[in-house]
Amino acid sequence: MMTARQKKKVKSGTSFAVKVILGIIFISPLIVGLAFSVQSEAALVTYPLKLITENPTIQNYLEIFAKVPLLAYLKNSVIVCFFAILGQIVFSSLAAYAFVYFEFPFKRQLFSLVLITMMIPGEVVVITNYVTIQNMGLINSYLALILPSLVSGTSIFLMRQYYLTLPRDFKEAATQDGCGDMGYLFRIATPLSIPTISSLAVYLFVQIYNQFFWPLLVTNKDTMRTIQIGISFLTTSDIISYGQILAGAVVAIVPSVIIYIFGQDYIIKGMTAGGVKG
Amino acid sequence: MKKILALALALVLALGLTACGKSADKTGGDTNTDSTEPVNVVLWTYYGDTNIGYLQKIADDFNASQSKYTVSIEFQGTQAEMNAKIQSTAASELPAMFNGAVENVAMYANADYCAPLQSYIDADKDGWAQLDGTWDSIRAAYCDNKGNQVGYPCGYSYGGIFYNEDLLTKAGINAADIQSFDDLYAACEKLVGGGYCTYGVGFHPDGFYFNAALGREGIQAYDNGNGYTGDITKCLYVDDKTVNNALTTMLTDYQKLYANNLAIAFGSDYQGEIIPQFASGDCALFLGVVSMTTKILKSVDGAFKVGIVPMVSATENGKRTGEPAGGTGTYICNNGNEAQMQGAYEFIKWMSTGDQAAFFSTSTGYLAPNKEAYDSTSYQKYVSDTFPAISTVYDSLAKSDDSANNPYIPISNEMKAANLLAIQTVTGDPTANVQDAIKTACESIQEAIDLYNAANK
Repeated sequence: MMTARQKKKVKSGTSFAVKVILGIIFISPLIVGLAFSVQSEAALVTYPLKLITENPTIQNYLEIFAKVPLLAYLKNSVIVCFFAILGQIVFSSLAAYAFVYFEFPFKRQLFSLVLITMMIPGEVVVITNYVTIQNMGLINSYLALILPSLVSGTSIFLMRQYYLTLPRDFKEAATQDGCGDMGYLFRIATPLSIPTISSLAVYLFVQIYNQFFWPLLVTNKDTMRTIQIGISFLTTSDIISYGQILAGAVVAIVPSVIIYIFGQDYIIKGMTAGGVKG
Repeated sequence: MKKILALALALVLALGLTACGKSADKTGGDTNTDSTEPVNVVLWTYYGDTNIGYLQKIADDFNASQSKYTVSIEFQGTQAEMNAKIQSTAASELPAMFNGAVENVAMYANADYCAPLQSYIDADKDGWAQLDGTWDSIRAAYCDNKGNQVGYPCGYSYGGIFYNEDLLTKAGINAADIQSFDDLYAACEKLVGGGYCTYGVGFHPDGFYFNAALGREGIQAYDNGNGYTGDITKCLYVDDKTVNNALTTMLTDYQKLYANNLAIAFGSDYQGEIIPQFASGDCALFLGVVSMTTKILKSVDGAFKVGIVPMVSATENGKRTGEPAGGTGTYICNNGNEAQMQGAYEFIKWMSTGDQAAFFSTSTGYLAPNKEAYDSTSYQKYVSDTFPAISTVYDSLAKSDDSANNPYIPISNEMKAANLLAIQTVTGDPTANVQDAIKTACESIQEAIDLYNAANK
């Protein structure tokens, strides 16, 4: 007969084991990718495949760095992400603030327009955006890569929802103390919204970093290409070198993993921030 | 302080974005008129990784051979992505040439962005000897329905069945006898039934083979002579008895192969699943294209002798002189810059010369597109030392004529997708009605034809 303490321990142990198993299942694509990326091409065409090789090799990594300027592509991806995220945070904060705290004609209709942009899949507008960028003479430039990602309805909506949760008393108290709108936005609202901004930034990073078709459309030169194009370059017509593609994918995923590791607290805070009434 | 911070932030963003911008860098808009400077000729390709390296070597040789043009190659994603980009790019931003599948010749011939090769051939006072020595069937495949050359093969692919000669010998099967889908089924039944291997055949899952099987025996599945005597207006899968019988036989064989577990699951990745099983001897036959040769030979690594026979026909009928081509061609892009377009023509000619075409073929596994390339020392060495079995393909090509090509149809992507779905339907369900699968494919293709014709009156 188990005591209550023993039962609790068993329950806790079982719960932990289940979580570990689930964690391994969730992370298994990364484990498989990493395991196969250190196998030779010959090992990868054997049947049946072995997850763990007796002769690991970094040859795939050496070859991809020799074939593709992955570090230059990574640099471009990081530059694009940095400016696009910065732009989205600035513009969405300002727009959201206006939607929450200002009264102006057609406010509801304008916000509906913002919401409508969220309902239009990116693929629908990609060609028209490409034609616009061409007409602006921006092909093969960072601006072409960044411009369409500078403002989004999702970011405005997210920031607006957060500002709505801020007690109106804060604004009234700040106004009585002589604080203007910009002062309130930057001294009070923005510091309070750091978790939301951080989670938005992490979300945007994953989204922008993974972009493929848009950077492919607006760039032709190697010097302007991003990491996802570098990975697709590793395939060729009827023949694909899986080891090299996986090695490239492992390299490409490193910034995302780092961002996630450092940003996971903010993601969780951002997800729960609006759930508690202050 | 915060105001200053906010202003500084806005300034950083504004300056950053300004710094990110730059003046337009026109890909195809090189308006260089200085005769001392070489004209920059850009090729857009969907070849990545290894193949682009071979192309680059040919471009480097071309650049070193003359001083008038400099060819540079730019990767543009998959073929579908590249086509989308070409179609939506302003003429002045287009490259001077691009790669495209042979099945899309009709689409390119009708497109504003493609300048037919024929006008450059007609104006060429030096002539183009390699074009005259090109296999008839492949030359015809790159012509429009009036016989004008639209493009020229860069990587000439060809559907066929790779086989494990040791296993077939043990099973008492002569590979040359596998000429139709009925033959293929019988061979698989013998191989698996006799316990020689787990699976008889693995299929490269692509709608291309559907038409290749029809074209092989000379069946025209579309009206107006498969599009060669006029624009296609009707898919004949259901209404034409000969076509319907051929499709019924072929799809029934597909269905039987899977119902009786004689084939590797349809849709399996050919590189990750089928070729490894072929190399390990678990599967005796593999329906693919010759550009997979290098990968197959590397995987087999001399464990057994690999052979190849031409694509099987849908039924036992027909004269079997059709050789529907696959693979990639090079086309001149109409970017409005005549100097660049002329440079593209010169480069396409250069690629077809014996040594260059043979280099690309031996490196990739694609077929030599013309007799000069085939007869070159390097290609003959490839035939004798690397893949002697490839000679069976050339024997077949020598007997080929231009009467049975792929349909000359501008909606080849939709057609291939519908054909693939028909195969998937019957291979995935042993009880599926073959006629229903044919009818669905026919309706889907007909809809695409009608839409295309309505939009391009």
